[in-house]
Amino acid sequence: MSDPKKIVPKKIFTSHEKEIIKDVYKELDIPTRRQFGKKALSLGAIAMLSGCSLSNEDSIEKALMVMSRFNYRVQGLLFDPNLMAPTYSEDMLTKPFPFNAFYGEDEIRPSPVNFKLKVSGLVQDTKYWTLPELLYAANQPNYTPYLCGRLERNW
Amino acid sequence: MNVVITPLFVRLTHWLNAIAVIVMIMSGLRIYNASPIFDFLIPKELTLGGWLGGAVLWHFAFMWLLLVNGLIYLILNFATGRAKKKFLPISPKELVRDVLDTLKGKLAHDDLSQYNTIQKLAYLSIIADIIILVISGLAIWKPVQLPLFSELMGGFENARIVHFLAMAYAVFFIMVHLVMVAVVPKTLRIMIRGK
Repeated sequence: MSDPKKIVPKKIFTSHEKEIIKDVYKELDIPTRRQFGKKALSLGAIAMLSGCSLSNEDSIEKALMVMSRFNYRVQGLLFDPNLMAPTYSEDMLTKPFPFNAFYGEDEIRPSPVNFKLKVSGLVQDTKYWTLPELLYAANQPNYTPYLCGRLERNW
Repeated sequence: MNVVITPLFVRLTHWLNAIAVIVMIMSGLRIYNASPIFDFLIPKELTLGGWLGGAVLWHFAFMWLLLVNGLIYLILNFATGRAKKKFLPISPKELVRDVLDTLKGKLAHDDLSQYNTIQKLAYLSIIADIIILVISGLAIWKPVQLPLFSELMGGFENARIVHFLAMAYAVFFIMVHLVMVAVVPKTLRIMIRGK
């Protein structure tokens, strides 16, 4: 990970915008920050991470991953990719944002400025999103039900 | 007794179902621990998968066994007329008699090819319970794609509670089931050899 200060791209943001991002970031409470972390942690992404072994037995793990890919293929055949999850207004959110399954409250990293969200696969634009970019783009809040780091629940 | 009491398809689907249900319960309990809906956690020793991601893989792999195996059982059981023959009729009068006999400790198990009323209701209840587990599970898994199931369960959060309570009933059923097998060991032999 690079130095946090380098993350804010000078060419994209004017100094005024940088101020806004700074303010917004300060406004972000811990639960919201965590939400960013959570949204990146789909099961697939987790499985790719080294050191996150799904089971001690290599063959079992392989079989489970075969089943998992099978599951995704079946879901692709069965389900409508254009259906979207219902969205909710901000006052319907659970506050504080509930339990995070992947790490305890005490393990929350103080600053997720290094955070990058890689968008890839069958999407229009494949790119990395840095946190300031995400915050800058997020002028349209969109709250949708969310469980256990699984974005795929939303389709 | 040389007549086959329990046909091969029932024995096969029974044991495959036993495997599927055990894996589903244990991995499900690990998933529960990652986001508990009640004030307690399940001891790690009773769970499968190690962590949430692993448990989800187990759960979503064995759900296929549970579903396909269950459908084969239901289709064959109804198509062959076995379900009707074994589970019907259910008479309230006989139920009262069977319950009283059980309390007196003299419920007859002489003819193992015939279910008593308590058995009929118990087996029908676990079939219904597994159907509820599958529907509430689908409601949790795909609330957006299957809104009907979600609504049927009274929304996503309710579906989780239904899924958990139905699991708890299955655990209760299994425990009673095992005690009964211990009391009448011949039934184990019948479920393995058929006679």
